[in-house]
Amino acid sequence: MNNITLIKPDWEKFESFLDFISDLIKEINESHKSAAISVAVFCHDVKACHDLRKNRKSLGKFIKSITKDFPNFSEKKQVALELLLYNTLNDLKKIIPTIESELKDNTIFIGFRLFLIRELKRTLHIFSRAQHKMSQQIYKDNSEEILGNPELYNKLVNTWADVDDY
Amino acid sequence: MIKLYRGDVIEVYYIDSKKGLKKRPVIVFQNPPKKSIDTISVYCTSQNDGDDDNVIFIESDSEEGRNMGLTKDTYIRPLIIRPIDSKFFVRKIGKCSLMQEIQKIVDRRMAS
Repeated sequence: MNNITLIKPDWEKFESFLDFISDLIKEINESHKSAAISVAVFCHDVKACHDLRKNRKSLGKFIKSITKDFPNFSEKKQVALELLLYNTLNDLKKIIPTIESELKDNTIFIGFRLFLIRELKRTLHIFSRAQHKMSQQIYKDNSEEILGNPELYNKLVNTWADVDDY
Repeated sequence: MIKLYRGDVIEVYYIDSKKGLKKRPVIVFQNPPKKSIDTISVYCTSQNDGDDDNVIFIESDSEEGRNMGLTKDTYIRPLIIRPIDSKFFVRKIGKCSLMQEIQKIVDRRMAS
């Protein structure tokens, strides 16, 4: 892989994965309205569960391979890639509670509900771990140095002395 | 220290009056030619001081807000420009596409 644009198209796997989950939830909710027994809903979607798990696993392998190659990328590409993961992780952190709250519907078969939540958590973990590894390679944590150095600390205080907190 | 470009949105440390060391976004206005010189950055805040003519408001849920990696609705204040020591740099969080608007506000103030 020579540049970031080669990576981006494969990223659609993840977007389709999330769409897949959202569509699945909608489908289950709708189909359940007409179904008498929730177990029937679960049985009906066994193939979907397999697909979901397969997608998550292939996503995990894909991210792992990028993480492995990461030190060989150029600085520009490393920053772009880490930023992409960082933003995706932030999006996931916003999306997951929403999906979880939708899954709290008691009419959804509990086994299926737990399966989806587990898959979501695992997806979050994949991104979280990869982003953390990449971030450590690019950015240095200066917080302790600032707090331990009065000169730096005062310079920081003076920089923002007359403005509001964020 | 990674290379920064005009328009990059970066997170930097600041001292919160109550909670100590915290992070805030700033926009790179001019990157130094040498590493020893501070990066010139534009101040961003979530608080409105009423000067609507000289600020740019960005909602965190808007496309621009997402591109900039903002977590709160934010006011960009091009009239408050600060040099930032590279040691206060935390990470890059996004890219700002409003540099022309920021430049216009700065130019307007310079001309008056």
